[in-house]
Amino acid sequence: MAAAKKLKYLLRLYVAGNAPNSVRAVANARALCIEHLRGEHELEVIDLMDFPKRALADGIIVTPTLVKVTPSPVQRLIGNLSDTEQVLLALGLK
Amino acid sequence: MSQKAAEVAELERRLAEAQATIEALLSGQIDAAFDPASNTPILLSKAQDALRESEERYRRIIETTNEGVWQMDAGYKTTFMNRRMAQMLGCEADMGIGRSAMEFLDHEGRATLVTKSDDAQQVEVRFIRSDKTIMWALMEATPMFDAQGNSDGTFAMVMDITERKKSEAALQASEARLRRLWDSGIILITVSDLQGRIIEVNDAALAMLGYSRDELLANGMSWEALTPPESVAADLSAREQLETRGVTAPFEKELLRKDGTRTAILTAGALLDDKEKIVVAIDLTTRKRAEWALLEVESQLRQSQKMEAVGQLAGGIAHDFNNILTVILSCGEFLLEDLQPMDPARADVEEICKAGARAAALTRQLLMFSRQQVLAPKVLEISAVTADMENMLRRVLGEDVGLVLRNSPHGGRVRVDPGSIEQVIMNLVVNARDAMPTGGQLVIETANVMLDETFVHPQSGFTPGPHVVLSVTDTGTGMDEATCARIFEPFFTTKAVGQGTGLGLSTVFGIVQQSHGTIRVHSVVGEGTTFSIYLPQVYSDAEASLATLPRTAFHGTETILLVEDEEQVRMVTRNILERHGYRVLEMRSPPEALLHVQNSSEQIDLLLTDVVMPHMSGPELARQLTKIRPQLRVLCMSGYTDDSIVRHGVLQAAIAFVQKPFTSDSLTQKVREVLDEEPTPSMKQAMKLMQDAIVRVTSDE
Repeated sequence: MAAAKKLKYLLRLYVAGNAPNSVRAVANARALCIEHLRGEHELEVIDLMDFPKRALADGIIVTPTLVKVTPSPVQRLIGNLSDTEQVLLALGLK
Repeated sequence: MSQKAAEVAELERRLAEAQATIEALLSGQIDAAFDPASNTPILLSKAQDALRESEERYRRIIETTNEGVWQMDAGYKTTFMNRRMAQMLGCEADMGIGRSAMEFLDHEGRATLVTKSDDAQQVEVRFIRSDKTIMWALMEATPMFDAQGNSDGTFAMVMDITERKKSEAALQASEARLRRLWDSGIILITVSDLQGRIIEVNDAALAMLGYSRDELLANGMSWEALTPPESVAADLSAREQLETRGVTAPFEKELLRKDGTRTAILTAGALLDDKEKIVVAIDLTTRKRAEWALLEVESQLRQSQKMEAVGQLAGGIAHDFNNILTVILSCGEFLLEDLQPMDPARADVEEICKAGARAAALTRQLLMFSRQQVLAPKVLEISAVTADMENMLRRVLGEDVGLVLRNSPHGGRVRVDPGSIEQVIMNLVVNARDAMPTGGQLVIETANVMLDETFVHPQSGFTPGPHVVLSVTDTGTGMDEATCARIFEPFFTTKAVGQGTGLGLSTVFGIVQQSHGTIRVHSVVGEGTTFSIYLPQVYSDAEASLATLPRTAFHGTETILLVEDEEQVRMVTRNILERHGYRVLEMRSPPEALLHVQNSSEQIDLLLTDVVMPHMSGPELARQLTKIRPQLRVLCMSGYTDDSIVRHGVLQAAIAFVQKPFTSDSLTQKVREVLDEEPTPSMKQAMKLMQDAIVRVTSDE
């Protein structure tokens, strides 16, 4: 899609249902996107309880895991994303 | 970058990732791990705890909710119920599990539960509690299905609505009561908007107003349209009360019916909300009729009391006039006797006598009105009287007025003074003639009627029973109500000054009253008037009229004891008697007379005495004197004959009586009559009766 191509960041967050770290990770990821990416992103939340096959396909071992697909290089962050400084550093936003 | 360097970088990245994963695991930030062999998530213990927490949260909600939660399998076996549900059913939650759902529902509830539906349905059902009481509930039943889509039971949320049902029932009962009131026909009820346009109305109101519901509601009929002008002010005041207090005090008004007639109501209103008001009313027609009837009776009573009072006044004046007129007439007569035929003063004296006679006639009429005229009633048929008078009446009426006499073939008899009844008829006929200046018809009718208590007010002295009615009807100008109310008052006249004394109908009234009758007048302006005289019927034979004594001079030489306290009257009386040859012993009072008789042995033939005097009455004097002189004749004279004396019939019987003012003829005629008649045994008894009557009169005074 033309609109999708314009997006600078494509992020995927892999979670396990409403498990507490997953719920927290979703909340942290959304807050971070709003504050630092200003809409120039797409955040895809994938519940591995519903789609367990995606774990193998995407090489996910634990949840929550955030994957920065673009811009390259691909990077993975493990945990509930509560250390905002660490996350920004990992995503190359700092 | 060489391949080797790339491999190293990849290894470092994986290592860092592994490190980060371990750190995350250690810090408890991992929920689940994935086993690549089974490809299933393995929840870590904290996650499981969280799930348990979550479950606990839901359990808490279910256990604390105010709604019953009830679950059953496909065979309606209870698999779960929350505490609230158990509480509603009156059992322990655990005890409910395993029991058939059917046990908890009444017949209709069971039928509802087994009705198959794929969707949730909300129904009102009745539960039977463990104490057998009924609980009304609102139940939302959701069917459950297994993975294969087979029925897996029912999940139900149950809300106790027993109280709501009770209030609904109470409300319905209350509405039913109000509906009964609405339909009862006892009171008129309307609901209208604030502008007065009627929105709703009950049948009682329709019946009262004479409109159909459509006529009232479809045309937006308002209260104003139903209110006659006289009641508008009351309505305005009520509207003010509504605006300030929201309710009006009850008030009386009239309503206009569809046919234009009016209905009296007692009404009150109240605001229902800020858009509508309710007005209730009670029909007062029956009560008003009773009130009007009472007013009518009271008015009759007032009228008769007024006439009584006026009568007493007139009688009192007449009494004094009679004494004065006796002197004037008698002195005039003496003068005429003494004067030479050609004396120039003679004409003047004759005028004095004529005027005195006219005054005497007037006084007599006043006495008639005040029922103090001495009547000599006879039993007679009124139809005979009217027949005898026919020729005379035709002359009085003249050519322009036709006279019709209608007599009942079996005319009843009454007891009246023949002269007086003739005067009654004559007065009525003259009035009728005057009411028909351009001619007309006069009908004189007699008939027998039976009158009951409702005819007149009991206190008017009227006795119910068979009566003869004499009615005189003219086709004249008629009278309005105000005139009718006053026509019997003395000196009330509608005739021009000098044309009537105003005593004609008063005389009629007095005579009728004294004859124990009653008189009614019915008049319509422009159509005519009917006077109806009701006289009690009597059943004895008609009496022949007494022959009138020849009118000659009555001389004598007997001795007369004259007792009179009024000096002038005494002198005049003495003069008359002496001029006719009598010897007169003049006494100023009964004690003086008594003393004289006791101390004297001279012959006394007649006691001529006034009736009402100080110290002792004339009849008492007569009684005492006749003890001493049994042969003594008695003649009473008075200008004041009270009704009570007349009523006792004394004066028509053995005791002779002469009415003041008398002329020398009337006095000496009576004196001669008494001296010449044979003494009767009833004389003493009559004396006693008269004495009793006099005692009453004087004690009344």
